[in-house]
Amino acid sequence: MKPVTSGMYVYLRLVLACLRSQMQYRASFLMMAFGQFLVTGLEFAAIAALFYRFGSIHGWQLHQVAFLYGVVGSGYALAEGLCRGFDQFSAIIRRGDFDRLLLRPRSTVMQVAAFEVQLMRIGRFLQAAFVLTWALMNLHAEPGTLMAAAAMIIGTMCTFCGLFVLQATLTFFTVETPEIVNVVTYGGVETASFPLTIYPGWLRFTFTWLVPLASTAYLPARLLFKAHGPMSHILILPACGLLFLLASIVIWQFGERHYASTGS
Amino acid sequence: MIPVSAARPYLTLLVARCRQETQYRAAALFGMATQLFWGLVRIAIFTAFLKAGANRSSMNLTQTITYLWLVQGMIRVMPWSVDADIRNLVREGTVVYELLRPIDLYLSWYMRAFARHAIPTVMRAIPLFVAAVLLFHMQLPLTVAAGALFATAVVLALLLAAAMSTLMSISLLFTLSGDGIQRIVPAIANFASGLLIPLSFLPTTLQHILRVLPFRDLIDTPARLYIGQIGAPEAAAAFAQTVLWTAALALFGRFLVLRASKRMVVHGG
Amino acid sequence: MTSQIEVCNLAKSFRVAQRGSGMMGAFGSLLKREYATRAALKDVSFTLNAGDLVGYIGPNGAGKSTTVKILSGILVPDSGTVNALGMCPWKQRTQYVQRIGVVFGQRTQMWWDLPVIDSFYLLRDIYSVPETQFRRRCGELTDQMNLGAFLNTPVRQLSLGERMRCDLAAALLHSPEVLFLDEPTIGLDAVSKLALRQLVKSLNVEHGVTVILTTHDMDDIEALCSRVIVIGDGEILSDGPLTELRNSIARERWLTVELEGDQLFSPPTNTTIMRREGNQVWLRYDPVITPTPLLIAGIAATNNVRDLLVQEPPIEEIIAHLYQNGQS
Repeated sequence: MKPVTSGMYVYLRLVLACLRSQMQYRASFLMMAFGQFLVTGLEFAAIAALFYRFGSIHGWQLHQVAFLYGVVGSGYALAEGLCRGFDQFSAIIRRGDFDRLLLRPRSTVMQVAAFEVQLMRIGRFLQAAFVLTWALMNLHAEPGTLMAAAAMIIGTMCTFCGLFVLQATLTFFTVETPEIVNVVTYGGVETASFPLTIYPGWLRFTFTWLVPLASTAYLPARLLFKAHGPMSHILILPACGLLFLLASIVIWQFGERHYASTGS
Repeated sequence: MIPVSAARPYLTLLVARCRQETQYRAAALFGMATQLFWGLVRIAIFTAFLKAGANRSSMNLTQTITYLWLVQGMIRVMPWSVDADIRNLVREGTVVYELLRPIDLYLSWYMRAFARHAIPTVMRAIPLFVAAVLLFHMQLPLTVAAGALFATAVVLALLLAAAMSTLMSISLLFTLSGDGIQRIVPAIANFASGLLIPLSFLPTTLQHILRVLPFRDLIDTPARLYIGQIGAPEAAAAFAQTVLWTAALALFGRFLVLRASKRMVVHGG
Repeated sequence: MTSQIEVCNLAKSFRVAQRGSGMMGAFGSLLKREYATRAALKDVSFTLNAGDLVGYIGPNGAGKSTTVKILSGILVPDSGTVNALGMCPWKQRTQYVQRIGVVFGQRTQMWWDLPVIDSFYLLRDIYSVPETQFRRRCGELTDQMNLGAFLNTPVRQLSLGERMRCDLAAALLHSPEVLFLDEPTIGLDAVSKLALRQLVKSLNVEHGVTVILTTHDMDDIEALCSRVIVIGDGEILSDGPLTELRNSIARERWLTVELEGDQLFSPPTNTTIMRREGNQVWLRYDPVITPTPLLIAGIAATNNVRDLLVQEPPIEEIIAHLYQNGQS
């Protein structure tokens, strides 16, 4: 087995290659990044307008929701940027590109993750980061809050990466992945951007116990703003995202074995 | 008067395109399930806001919920993407042949766009509305008049959306990547049509600006007519504005196609 | 000579989903699917020695690519064993693929928008090729395949022939012991084809790389392969040297007779006329039943002959013959 460091190195090299490829189409990249920025920026403008009219939601102020929105948005943008290959996996299988990856002496998870890194996601990331910065300024953030935000972003990113991996795993079993799977990812972004208490039970259950977005976003934020819980809890909770990702990778490996034995 | 024989190829095209769209029934059903999910999430969010300040709302809770379901049902009216076939034509350069055909390119693309919006909208909206009315507190139109005005507004919205979509397809002829317009128009349309937030929830000054733009007629105008927030007199004015915008966009589109085809014939694509 | 790849009794069948039509079909297929089983490989065994250059041929759907996929570790068979380079390809995938190279004629493994040399660097990292070894190898391959002129050109701007040469070099950077070539000459022009064949031949001879070549182009086989394995309908139909294949399957010869003028010609016994055009007659016969010298002597004695030409039938004919027999 090759050392893990070497695997990370190859991942970085592959990611850089993707970025260099995209830099060949610079104007197109800039447009797409700007488009993403605009789409999500106007989305947040709509949320701000709702606060402007109605004042608060379940006792949460705009800057508190903005904090949640920023954390979830940047975590999602990072996941989308770094794991896009899994999101596109049905196309990778259909084109036969997955066989090519199997012919290389590296883990498929690493290779698929690095397959198509999209730099244009920076548009969405920047928008979420702006909103988060604005929120942090209004929250008079302490170092602890910043650490919490970082942990929450990483946890959320891991959760969404895990969702992309699971969505891709489905492709091993049925080539036509129903679009409905997207509901969980896109729906997750929207749902997790607001305090979870506003939702009906089945939604709360889904995003607490099936997909741990509550642990990576809402619950730590609640501890931070409302319950003033201990910092250790706030920093530990997002680790659920990491566990979710690891579990997804185990399921992926199971799917891959299934694929190899059924073939294409 | 346009002679019937001259209109025939375009009608044939429209019918063929519509028939093709009806084949995506499974996609429509999955799409409907997706819209149901989104609708429920958004209703939860808006309900929570309304509870915080119901007195500041321009619509009551039932009206808001109905509005949100209307948005979900009419999602395919939105000019979000360029016809994939046309994109390929441009990318492969074969669009030159389209430009040289003895038919009006604008009109044939417009027909395609109309079918691409109308059929999925009908296929998704009707089952979604049935489910929403029966299970999720969507209200039926309070008067027959409101229902009729809504139906008229939807037809006009589809005609307008087709003009916008066609214009986006045409933009591909000018900037090969065409990414700019295709990303910016949908972003603005989302906000200015009422898709993200009912326009009457926005600050008043912003509402005045958006009232002049054509996007509100895609969703907000039909939805307001449905829930009875605006009546027949305002409807007449709104319809007139929709028709004017549609005509203006169509004329502009035709003009652009003529310019593009001249340029391509001269430069050989 | 030691055997490098041993394939024993491979069998593999696929389940093909039967999808209902229309909306109910689409929904139903998510819940309950009906499958039809199709056997791609029934019972395939063969042994390859180090340094072999083997042609692996068969009609579409015969099981060629299934075999290649199993041998390269992508696919797991239903039953049977493979011992390749002392390993089981699908069980020790990453270690195994480190020592093999694969080239697909219709797809490139290089990065489309990047210069060729960048793809080589990436493959160096992926295969952990030490820097000094990489530099030597890359230099060798560049010279041998004449890649110098376009190492800095993005892959998407290469011609198909140039790209195939680069792809071949890319598959060899990590010095594999076994090379799988899947339709490497498909779509190439005549000059590029010849160049590619030359390269494969020299790789095999000079570096001792074992080459397994699947192709539809019989000229490839004739130019390169000393041994041919023919597969049809999931079973090996024939395995041996090309000459042996010719003799065992179709011993026949073709004789072209050019007559003086437009005279009457009746075929000798045990021969058949395939075609007649003006004063030329094409005959086919079995040289064991009708020895060639006797046949020629007989024809020359009874006819006014201007010229005679004995030929072996083209390889395509033989293969087509074989496929037909395999199916019946």
